[in-house]
Amino acid sequence: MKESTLFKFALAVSLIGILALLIIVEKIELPLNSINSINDAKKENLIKVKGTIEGIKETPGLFILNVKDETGNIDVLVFKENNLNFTKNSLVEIEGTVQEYQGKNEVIAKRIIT
Amino acid sequence: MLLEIIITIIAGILLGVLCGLLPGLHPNTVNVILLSLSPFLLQFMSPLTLAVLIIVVSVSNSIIDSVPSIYLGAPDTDGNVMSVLPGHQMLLRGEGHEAVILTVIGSIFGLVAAVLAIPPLALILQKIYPLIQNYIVYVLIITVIFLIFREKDKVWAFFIFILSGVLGIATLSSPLKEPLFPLFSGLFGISMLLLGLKNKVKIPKQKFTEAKIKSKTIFKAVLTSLISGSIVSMLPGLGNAQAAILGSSIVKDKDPECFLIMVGGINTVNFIISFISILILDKARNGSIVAVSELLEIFTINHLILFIIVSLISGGLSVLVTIKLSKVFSSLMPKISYQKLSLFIIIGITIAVIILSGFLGLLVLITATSLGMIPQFKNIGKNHLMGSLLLPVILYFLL
Repeated sequence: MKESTLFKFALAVSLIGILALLIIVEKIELPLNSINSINDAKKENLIKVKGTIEGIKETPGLFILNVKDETGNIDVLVFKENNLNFTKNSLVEIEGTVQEYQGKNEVIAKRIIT
Repeated sequence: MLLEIIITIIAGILLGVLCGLLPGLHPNTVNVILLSLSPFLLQFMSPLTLAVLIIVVSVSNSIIDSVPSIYLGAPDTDGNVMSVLPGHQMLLRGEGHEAVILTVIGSIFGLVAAVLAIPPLALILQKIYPLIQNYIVYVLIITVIFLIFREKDKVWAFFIFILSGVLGIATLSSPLKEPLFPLFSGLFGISMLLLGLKNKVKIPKQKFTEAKIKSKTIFKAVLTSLISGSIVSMLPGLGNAQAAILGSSIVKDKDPECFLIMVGGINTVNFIISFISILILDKARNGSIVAVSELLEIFTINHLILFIIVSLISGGLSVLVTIKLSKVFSSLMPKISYQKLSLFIIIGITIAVIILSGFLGLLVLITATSLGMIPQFKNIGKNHLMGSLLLPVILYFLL
């Protein structure tokens, strides 16, 4: 093996990597779900929704946000881990898991983009 | 998203070059700094991008590391203890560049081999780990006994192991911030540099001979690093140095070429395997993986695929950077005073220790440096200094 072969090999590895990155990158981001579809989603599923905040309820440990998009609305539970501030009618993007509570599906937020 | 990741990869490689070239600045230290800056950084990037950055820094550092560990003879940490010996000999024969090329060949082929071997490795890990889980402490004790008994001077090897173990326990249970930084910089970094000062090392003019390495040697060395890297990755407290010793007892080849390729291979193999262990065993085996799992709430198979791809890209690019850097070092090193450079690095590490860990850290650094010089005088392997991690781990399992 010569140094030039090594050079070519290393270059090929990074190019193949970049090609693979092009293919995979779409799959890394969670697809956006409509809120209506979450109402029928399975428990523990990881989902992403986007909508406006219709209502904010605050308890000592968590926020309960009512998020609405064109298809419906759903409650999103946000645990107070960091300093969080929400304003009504603002747009949020939420990643989280689906959970059933009193016969209705709700979302436990893992990540919030305001 | 794609653009974000590509920019992150470039930034990560630059950071990797920086901490690869500053001996003593271990990627784990960089990770801690990045994590502590994360509230600020996360305003500009997603946690996933920050995780990608950490992985790029670690991969590129582990490859670029071969430049300082061969030209400066100052290994960053435990990982490169072994590459110093044959690599340093080659440097003194004027073949420093060739030594770097050999190590890098190991890194890139090891990386690709480990990625290709992920499915069988994952299966093996899943089947074997539960079997040995309850006996890990005995495996560790047997490994220590094996390592001590292969030395001529068994009494001193044992003594060094126990002493560094006690130092490790004292340091890890102290309220020090970043306890591993002064500990490893002393044991493996400054002790080597100080001995280099004493020995008045003069680096000869470097030749740029083309290394002619047989494909068979590469194949053998990479396969060995895959096997020994996988075994070691299942055991806590054991690092790359132990994998290298295990590897050289498998091949029974005293050929320095084979050894350097293997050392390079082990570095990258271990990193890829640590992805599998976090996904399958839920065990974080290195600082970067700890940082990544702290950032991501959920570690999915898609993340694994992304991280592997990112490792391949940054690995390939780092090899190109390392070849260039090695050429620069080859022509610079004979011109600059090795003594002055060593002294400069020693002062740099000492200041960094005082800033990061305070004066208690300085105490640890001085103690660890003194202890780190003993193996050289007694002509035994520096790997026994890993007792500083192994003894606490063994006691943790036993008590």
